[in-house]
Order: sequence, then C-alpha cells, then structure tokens
Amino acid sequence: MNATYKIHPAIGIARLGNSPDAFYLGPETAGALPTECDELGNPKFSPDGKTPVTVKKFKDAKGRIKRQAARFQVWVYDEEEQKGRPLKIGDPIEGGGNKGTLVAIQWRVHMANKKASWYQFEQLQGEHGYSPDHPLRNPDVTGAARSRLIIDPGARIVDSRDNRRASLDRSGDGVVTTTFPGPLTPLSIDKLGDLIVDDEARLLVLGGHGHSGTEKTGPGNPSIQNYANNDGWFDDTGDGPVMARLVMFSEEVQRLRFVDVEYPAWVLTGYPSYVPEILDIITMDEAMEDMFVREMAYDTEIYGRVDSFKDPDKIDSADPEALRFWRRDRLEWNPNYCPGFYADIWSILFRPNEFNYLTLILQASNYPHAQETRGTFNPADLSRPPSVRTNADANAIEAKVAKLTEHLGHYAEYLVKGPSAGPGKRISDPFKPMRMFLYDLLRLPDEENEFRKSGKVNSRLHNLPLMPLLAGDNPITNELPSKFLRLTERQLFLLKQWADGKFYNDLDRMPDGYNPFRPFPGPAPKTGRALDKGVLGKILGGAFCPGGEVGWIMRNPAIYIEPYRIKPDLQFSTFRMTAARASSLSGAVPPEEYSAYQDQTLSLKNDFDNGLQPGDLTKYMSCPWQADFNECSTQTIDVTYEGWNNIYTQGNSLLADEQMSWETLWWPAHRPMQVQMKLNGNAQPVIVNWASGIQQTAAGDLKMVTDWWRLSFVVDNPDLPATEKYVASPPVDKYIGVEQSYGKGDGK
Amino acid sequence: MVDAVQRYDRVCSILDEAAAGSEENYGGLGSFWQGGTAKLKDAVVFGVPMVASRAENSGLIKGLRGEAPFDGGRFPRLPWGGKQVSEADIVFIAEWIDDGCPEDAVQIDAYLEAEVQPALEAVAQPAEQKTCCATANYVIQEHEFGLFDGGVNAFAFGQTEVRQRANIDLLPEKQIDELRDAMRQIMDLNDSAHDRRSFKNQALIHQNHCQHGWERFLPWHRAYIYEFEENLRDFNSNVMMPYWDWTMAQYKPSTPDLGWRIPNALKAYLTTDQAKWLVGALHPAPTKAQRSKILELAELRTLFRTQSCFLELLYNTIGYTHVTPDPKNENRCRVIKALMASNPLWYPLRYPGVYFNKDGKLSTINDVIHYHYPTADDIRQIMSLNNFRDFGGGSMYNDSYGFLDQNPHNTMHIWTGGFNPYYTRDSYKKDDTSTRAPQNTAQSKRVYYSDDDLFSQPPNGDMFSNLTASYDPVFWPVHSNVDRLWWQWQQNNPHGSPQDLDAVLTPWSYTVRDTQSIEPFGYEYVRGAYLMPVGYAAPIGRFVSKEIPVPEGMAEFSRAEVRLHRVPVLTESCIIRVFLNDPAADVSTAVEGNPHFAGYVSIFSHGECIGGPGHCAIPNPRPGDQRERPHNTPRNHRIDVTQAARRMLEDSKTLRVTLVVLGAGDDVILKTEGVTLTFLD
Repeated sequence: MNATYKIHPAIGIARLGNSPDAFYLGPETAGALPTECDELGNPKFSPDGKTPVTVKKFKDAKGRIKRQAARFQVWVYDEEEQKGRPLKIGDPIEGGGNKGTLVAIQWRVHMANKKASWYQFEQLQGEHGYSPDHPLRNPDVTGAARSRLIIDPGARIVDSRDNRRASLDRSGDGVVTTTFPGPLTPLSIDKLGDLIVDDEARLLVLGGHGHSGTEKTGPGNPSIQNYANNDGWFDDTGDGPVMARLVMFSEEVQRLRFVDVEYPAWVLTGYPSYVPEILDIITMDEAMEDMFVREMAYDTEIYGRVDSFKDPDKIDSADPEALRFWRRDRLEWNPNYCPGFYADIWSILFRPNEFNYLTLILQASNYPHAQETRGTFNPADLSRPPSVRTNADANAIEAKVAKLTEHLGHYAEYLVKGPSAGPGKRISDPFKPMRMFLYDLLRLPDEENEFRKSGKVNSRLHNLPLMPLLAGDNPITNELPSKFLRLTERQLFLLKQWADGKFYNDLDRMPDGYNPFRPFPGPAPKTGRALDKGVLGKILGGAFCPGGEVGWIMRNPAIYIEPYRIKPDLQFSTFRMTAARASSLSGAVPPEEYSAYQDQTLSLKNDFDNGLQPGDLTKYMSCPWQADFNECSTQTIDVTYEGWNNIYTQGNSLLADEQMSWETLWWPAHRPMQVQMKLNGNAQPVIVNWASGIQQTAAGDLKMVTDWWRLSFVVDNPDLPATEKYVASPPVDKYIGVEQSYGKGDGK
Repeated sequence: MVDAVQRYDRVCSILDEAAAGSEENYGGLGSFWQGGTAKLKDAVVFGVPMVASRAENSGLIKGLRGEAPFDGGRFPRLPWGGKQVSEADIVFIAEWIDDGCPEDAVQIDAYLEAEVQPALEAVAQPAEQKTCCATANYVIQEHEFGLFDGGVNAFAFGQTEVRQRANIDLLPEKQIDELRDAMRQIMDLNDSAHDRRSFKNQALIHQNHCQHGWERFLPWHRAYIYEFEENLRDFNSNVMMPYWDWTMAQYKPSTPDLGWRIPNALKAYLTTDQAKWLVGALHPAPTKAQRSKILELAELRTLFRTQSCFLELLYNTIGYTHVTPDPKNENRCRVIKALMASNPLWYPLRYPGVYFNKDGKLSTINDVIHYHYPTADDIRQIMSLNNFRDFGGGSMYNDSYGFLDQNPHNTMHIWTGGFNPYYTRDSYKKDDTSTRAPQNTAQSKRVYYSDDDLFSQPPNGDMFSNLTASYDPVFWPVHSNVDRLWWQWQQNNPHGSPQDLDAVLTPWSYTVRDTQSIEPFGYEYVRGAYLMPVGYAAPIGRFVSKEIPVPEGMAEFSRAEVRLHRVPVLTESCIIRVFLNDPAADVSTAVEGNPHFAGYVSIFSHGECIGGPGHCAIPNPRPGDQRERPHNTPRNHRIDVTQAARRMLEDSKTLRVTLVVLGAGDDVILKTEGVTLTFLD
C-alpha cells in the first residue's frame, strides 16, 4: 500500500465575526464548544496538557463576535495506519517517486463569493438544473461585466515555515489581482478571510467580518426587500478549495521534494454558531451521509442490493460506471440491520426536547418530548428491546392479562404476552406500542406536504401533527411545495428498525461517562472520517430554503468525487506549479511568489463534470445572509391543501372558511426564538426574545445587517451543576443566553 | 507390364490417393503437389520448404515419413488428414527429388514395384500410433507443439493482430538482431538527406519539436515512437520497439552503480567480422597475442558499457598502447567504428551512470545531480497518482511537469547520458592522470552521426540534453517504457486526460486526443510471449506444448494468458480447458482443487449451416471493405492463467500448456492458427 495523504476535515466551516483579530477554533465534534487558541492558532490546553480549553467568551472586550477558525490537517494513510493518523513535521513521507522527511506543509486556499452573480434563489427550483429562463440576481448587469459580481480575492499560499499568514483581501498581497465590489452601504467588503498556519503545520482559515452592504445609493437605500435575493447586495461569506503540498527533504539526493495530497478539502464560511451545543434535527453530517449511502454505495451493510447483506458489495464510490451500475440494481435497506439504541436512535430522539430552551411555544406550553419516567421519550423504556421469555408461570400471566384487560382491552394480552416465540416461549416487548407511537408520528417520504396524520379515526394518532413539525424546503410558493421537514431516509430507516424491535441496547458500549441526558458532545474524533463528520455536525442539514450555511447543493451527488470530498475544478484548486516541477526546481521558486498564466476566470455557470470552483457552494444562499437568517425564525404555513402553499380566497368565502395555517418553527438551534437570559444583572434568568427589537420583516432584515453581532450566544448554563441539568427533567434555564451586546458600541 | 508415364504424374497420384477425403489446404496452398513441378518445388508449408536440393532434407519426404518437424511435434505426418504413404512410394518420390524433379517420362518396371514393395512396407509399419479421437474423415494425431522462434510479431497472424512491444531484457537474441538490422538500415539512409525515415532525420524531429514539462509530453512521444517504429517496420515488419523496464532486479535500482546500468542489448561488443577488421586496421599492427585477445573478445561476446571500458581494457589488459583519448586518435576511431558496426544499438556518446563531482572524483547521480535512480516503489507511487496533471503534466508549458516526466524520465536521460570520463583525461593508461584541453563543440555546430561527431569527447553523453538525446538509440527503449507506464496508468484512470485534447502534435497531424488510446496504433505491451504454431492443418482434440522455459525476469508478470489465435468458427460448441505442467491431462482430469487447472474458455459454434447459399461462404473482405465482418471470421480467445502459472513457477522454471477440448460429441475438435503463452506486466 502506497502512503496517501488526505486533508481532514474534508469540509471545514469558518464562521464570521466582527472582532478584527480575536478568534477561536471551531468544534470538531457535534455539539462541542469551540476551543481557545493563541494568536497563532495553537490550541490552549488545561494544566493536564491534554484537555483543550473550551471557549468561555465568544465576544471580545468591545462586545464584537470573535471569528471561528476552520482548522485543516494532513493525515497519512499507510500500511501502519490504514485508518489514518495526523501527519507531523519530521515524519518520513513518500510520493511521486520520492521519499524524505516532512519539513514543511504548504497550504493553498482560494475562496470566493459568487452570490451576486448567481441565479435568484427560488426554493427548490434549480436543484435538478436551472431552466433557461430562471431569473438571475442583478439582471441589469450583463455579459462579461457579471464577472465583477464575483468577489474573488484570488488564491493565497501559506506554509508552516516563514510564510505563516495571509489575507484573502483586496490587496492581492502583491501576487494576484483581485475583484471586490466598490464602496458598500452600510459596510464595505475588503476581504473574505485570513489564513494562519499553526505550530504543527495545520491550517486555520478565518472567514470574513460579517460585512454586508449594497452598491446602490440614494434615497431609500440601503434596502432589503427579499429574504434571499437583493440586487446590489454583497456579503463576505464564501467557500473554496483548500490544497496542501508536502515538502520533504530527500536525504538520498540532499534536496527538497514535493508531493500533493490526494484531493483538496473545502472551506466554507457561515454565520456564527449562536447555539453551539444543541444539534439541529437534521445535521449536515446526517443529510450528506444519507445521500452517500443511497447514491454512492457508502455503506453497503445498511443499504445495498437485495440479498447482498451477508456479503456486502464493495463499490468504488469514485468509479462512476461501477456506481451507476450499482444504482440501477434493486436496492433496499438491510431488513436485518440492528441499530444501537443510544448511538443511533437516542441521538435523534434526544434533540426535540432541547428546542424547549429556544422557543417559548414549547417551553411555556406543554412537554410533548418529555424524557422523564412517564414521558413519551423516556429512554429507559425506549431502549428496551424485545426479549424471549419462558412461560414459567402460565397462571400468573393469565391473571395479569385478565387484570389489565379491564383497562387496556385487547392491548393487554399483547403487552403481557407479546408474540409467540415457539412452544412455551413468548416474546416480551412491552414498549413496542410506545416505539410505534413515536415512529407512526414521523413524516415519511412523500408526506412533506402533510400536516396531520389522517385516516385513522379510531387511533390515538388521528389528527396529530406529523413530526418533525418544522418548516420544509418550500413552504412559500406553489412551485414545488415542500412544506414540512422530513427526517432523512437513513434516519427513518434506523427508527423503523427500532420501532420494529430490531435493535439492541448499547448503553454499555457507549464511551466512558456517557449520560443519556447529555449525549453530546461525543468523544474527540480519532479518525479522519470522524473529524469530517464531527465538523459537519453543527452545519444545518435541513430544511434548505435556502438553509443555514449551505443548502440543497450538498445533497447533490454530482459535486462529490467520493463521499465527503468535494470534486474540485483542478484549474482553481491546485498549486499552479505542479509538485513535480517544484521538485525539479527543488523549491527554488516559492509557490506564493510564482505567478502562473491563467486563461480562465471564475465561471458564471455550473460544470459539475469539471468540478466545483471557489464560491460554488455558498452562491445559492441568501444575499445578504442576514436577511434569511432573520426571517427564518417561524413560518406561517398554509395547511389547507397539500399541493398549495398559497391559495387565493378573494370572492370565495367558502374557500376562506376552509383555510388553515400553522405557525411553524424553522431551525431553532441555528436561529433561536426566545431564550432564558439574566437581565440587568439579575441572578435569575427570564425568558426573552433572542433578537429583541429586530422585526421579522424586511426592515428587520436590514437591522440584522448591522446588529447580528449583538445577539447572545446560547450556552449550557454554567451556573447549574451537572446533577441538576443533565437529568430527565432539567430546569428551564438549562441553556441561557450570554454576552448579548445591545448598547455596546457600534461593532467597529 | 511396363507403362510409360511421367514420374511427376506418378508422384501426384501417390499423394492424391493418400490425401483422398482430406479437406486440408496447407495454410492456403491447397494440394500443393498438383499444378506442375515448378509449383511443387516452390511450395512452402508453414515455413517448411517441401522440396529441397536433396530428398532427405525435403519437407515432403520428412513429412511423408513422419520425421521432424512432421513427427507430431509441430506438425503431424503428411498428408494431413489422409492415409500414410507406403515406404516404396516414398522412395519413388525421394529418388525423383534427388534426380532434380525431372519431367521426363520413364519406364516404370511393374515387376520391380511388385517385388520390392512388400519388403519395404514391413519396415515402414509404424511402431506405435497413438490416436485420441477419430472423425469421419481423418485421424487426429496427438503431438507436442514446439515454440516458434521468430517472435509473435513475425508469425503470419502477427501482421493482422495487435503487435507486441516486449521487454528488451527478455527478448530472444534473434529478435534483438532483427531490431539491430532494421536500425542499421535506417542509419544507412543517413546519407540520403531527404529521406525522412533516416535515423538522423527521425532524431532531428525530437530536436525540433519535442514536448516536455507539460501535458503534451506523453502524447507527443507516443506518436514519435510509433512513427519511428513504422520506419523500422518498412524494413522488417516483424520489428517492434522493445521497452526497457529499468526497475528490474538486474539494475539494482537502490544501488544502480552496481547493476547493469543499461540493457545488455545496447552494450558494445565486437562481432567476429568486426574484430577481424579491427585487428587488420589497427596501426601499428597488434602483436599476435594482442590479436588473439581481441578476437577472443568477439568469440566470448564480451560486453562493454562504454567506449572507455573497451579502450582501457585494450590499453591496460591486452597491452595495445597505441591509442589515446584524443578525438583525432585514429586507432580509437577504428575501435569506435568496429563497435558501432557490431551493434547499432550501441552509441559512443553514452556514459551510463558515470558522474564526477566538483573535485573531479567519481561520484553518484544522487550526489552530483541530486536525482535518484527510479525504483519499483517510486513507479508504484507515480502510478497511484489520481490525476493526469500530476502524473503526466498540466496545461502550462514547463511549469506543469508530471511526475513521470520529471523523474523517472528526466532521470533516465541523465542516467544514460552520464559524464564522459575522458572529457579532459589524456591517457587510457591506468592511473595516468595527464590531461588535455577540453573539446567543446557547440551543439549548433555538430554534424550528428558524422565521424567527427562520433569520435568527439564531449563533457556529457547525448542523452543528457533533449536536443541530442534522440541520436542515442537508448532513447527509444527508455521512451517505450515511459509510454508503457502511461498506458498502464490509463487502464486505472480512464478519465484522466490532458486538458487540451485538440492540440496538434507537430510535425505530424495527430492531435492529443488521437493519442489517448494505443488501440488505433495497433500495439500492446507484453513482458514476453511464446508462440506455438498449430495451423488449421492440425485439428486438435488435445494440445500439449513442449516445455517452455520461463526466465526469472519473465516470472515477475502480473498477468499470464493463454491465447488461442484465429480460431475459425467450429461446427460444434466446445469448452477448452487449460492445464499447466500436466501433459497427461485429458477430459477426465479433475478441475476443482487441481493446482494444474488454469482456466477455461467456452467456444460457441455456428452449427450446421441452414442459411442460404453463401451464408457461410462469404469471400474474405477486401482492403477498404467497410461491411461488417462475416460471422465466420476467425476469433481470438484469451484465458487468464495467472494463478496457475504462479503456482507452477514456484517449483518449476518451465511451463507446459495442455489444452483439452470438451464437447457434446466425439468429434469435437479445435482449430487454431496458434497458441501463445503471454506474460503481461
């Protein structure tokens, strides 16, 4: 086995902050707090030298949000460590026909923001290709001038030796020419981020400062009219490839040699993670894994050809022909797959109750997701798989049935005896009805537009709203409506197996110290893949309208070269001088000083066959991001008819009488509604509006452009002891908002 | 009773009678004895002349008697598919041949014929005739098939099948000699300045057009080797450019100074003729003892890496001291001439693996050039690169070297070029360090392949610079190997291609796109192949090859195949089982758990023709015929025998191929032009 070198995470997330210099390291496990680092990006450890110090202050002294760095690291996969290990300076490496000692790592990053040059976001239109007449953003700008709508700072190269910092800024660092919009109102954009290499040759990518503005001037400007599309506007999010080149000293020839990692990684910038410890109902990790499993043969033990599960297929997901052939086969979920309750089921079921702490609707009304002993979500009950019992005392059992029949009717016999498991034996599965109740309430594929369970008039499920009761990919227009969020097929399959009793109780297999009432964060990632997944764990995985950090483009298999790895357009992702050429020069020309002939500008179109360019993941998102972020709090969804989000009742009172709607949450773990907060120095928190004073309107969107940084971070309440908050029935202030900066300066 | 007949007519009638009922056409000749003595005298059946100057050497007589090669080894007894001819009749034919195949009429004494015949017949009775299966028409003989010594490309179907470029170190000397002859012929064209095929003009193409340091490197050189090879094939169509796998064990890639440094086929040696010429030409004349030592070098075919290896031996060991490194030294020039004439693959301006450091001390490529000789592990790493830009180069000239281009390709140029140890040294005498002024001829002033140029003392070998590299014949096997590595990489990376596919590769009309597959060029790479001609004349129920010696280097194959060439559409479907090193294997030999069992192929037959007239008798397509090939076109079959071959070679240095034909009926037979055992990298 040749050694291969890969960057992990395959997709990293940097987050905006208006603090000019302060930053911390993004979490690498779903639900973990970010960690502190020094100004060179080196993580800080507690006195034991091992435990990273988590962030206590998300804002600087002036109340400005610190940026969150995306950290990338090169991993090596070889005979010794087939699951990979982080590569360290001084390690022996090989590649391209050379071997030597790793002396440095060069990193190349090219981010861009293509939002203003892209199509208007119109819900799901475009997910399967844009129609030729799909409207563009900034349609008045035509022809070659549209390239100017792309914010392109060009590529920057840093290394682990004497060139450890660079800015993706307007200056071009004297190496490249850049494209930035002119003066903007209210805030101009001069950079998309910064690069820093830490002492262990890892790369940190910092995003922008949250500057958004419009080029339009004059009366009425700046103005935001739409949650997603606003001509003239730019923001400083972005995305692009992250490439690494390993520099080795070859002892045998006494010269430097170079070799590139297998594929680039990708960095994207999103808005701050205001609620770092609470997971969305669908994380990006889950959304992507679902697609990889179904489309890219990522896990053929769980999903594959009919009857193939005893000897699962091994399909090379990077081989399009093999994959296409596999997809054309009869594929199914493995009917005998047994999920572990705590690892696979509870990690989903735990989440809805956490939303209690983010919205008043849940917190102040009822507790449908209660996890206490008599609650619908009591893990002690839900985790008990069916067991086979011997009918030792038939009389006692019959007596028990007789006693319970009075209250439960025919249910009693089933509950006590369960299905027969052969002569003298029975299957005891007393909690199956409880599991089935939860599963039956789940929204299944093709039920995205159904609000309530109907057609079961004698069932207690009848007329109950389907879950999750969150807004879907399009609750807005009548074009491709998709009103409500549905769990991924993989999540639903796992839950189905569980509901059917095909699962096991894995409590004793969970990591040391696991507490069902604090399932997140899990342990720090030990493999490159775990790191990929961990980082995606706090990126929104649905609904995509357009979403949080990135949207439905992420569930398009065409953009991946293999699971988790974005397929790059090599023209914009590789070092312009090949590693072989760098080797022939033995490094005499530093890559950052090497200026290459470029015959292409960033594209105004998609070319998935050729790979993605800088800016091709975030361009679908709202412009500026603050507009959608502000408005995606709750959504009034018309639930009158499945096929219509909008009905027109004028002159039709009968239709008007029929009309029903439901005020639906979007994604509280990304954009909270109400939170507990200690106000005016009071020790006892009270529930308040999180974005107080910012209306859910277009006018509010404009306020969000200037005030997003004042909002509080919602964290696990440090004042409560673990014994009080990590329990089945925690207090209402389990999470509290901190560091709100209302009235604290102007953010500059 | 005496009948007056022509002896030739009698010969015909003997053979006609014996061949009655056979449909054999002897490789297209048909009943070659018919149609006149002239036709019979010229008849050559599968390379064997039927009539030689003496009867005992004539194929016809050997064939009728069942002597080699008609002893069942390569061919069965004549006439094929017919009856055995009595010894008396054979004697009659033999005498006629010995008399020069006269057409005169003679008196045949019937009495004599009657008296002699029974006695001779008794002698000619076959001692033991093994038969395996009988058909309505003829007896199929079982025999062992021997190796064809001309190489797969030289065999009849080689001209119509994919031609093979083989490993130069595993190529039989006979085929190397064919390559040398063809090289010599295009070098002879050097005097014809306008013949584009001349070696110099071909080399000039590289000087003027070559592409390195970007994605056109591999495409351009693929076309270049092909064009060069076609020029060679103008003179001998059997010749293909072999490749030099420089990572093989004999090159000791980790300590290459201790290895062969360059394939033996390209090293200098003296032929006897050239040795004789040289000892006559040297002036003053060598002593008798020196002469015999020089002649002995030819006899022993002593190999020399460089001219100086030879000249130092001549001076210090043989003791002929009238030779100096001076470019004008006439004896030295004579030596170079003799060595070049002996082996046109050798080149005087070539110093493989010779390097001097700044202090003039002998050193290594690692220390002086800071490049290392490529190892098999290096090649594995390069083959694992996942994009064409890294592997073969990108779209920016000279800034986007691929790893294959940069090292090993560049390294092999530097390695084979080397430093000239006599750039300034002035004596071949051991330990004599006297020097002379260096000779520096500007490249622009060189007249390549002129005497002045070949006898010069430049600082480096010609492979060292891309302007001169192609004048050294080692250029071709090096690049053939580079092309092979690309082809192998292409198998694993079908989507990896250069960016600019429309770019034209001057001075030809190929575009980069045209070079993306080697199929249109009609060649493949094999480590080596062994051919056993069969011919339709010998329908087989069972095929057993003679022992095929498999040398050590050959045994490092990654895949072994038994190929059946040009199998005509059979009347019965059958299964061909392949066994290795089990000459006794037959239909009853176990398959499961049998380490000798190597694989099988099913051949689907046409069955009895129920089509209209001509359905199964479509004429062969003419050149330019664009219609579909007729359904009876012979097919090739290949059977992967890798695993069994590896098992057998654990304990054996030879392989024997046994083919067993299984079908529903008793008369199932296989016809094929030949069987090859092919080893691939």
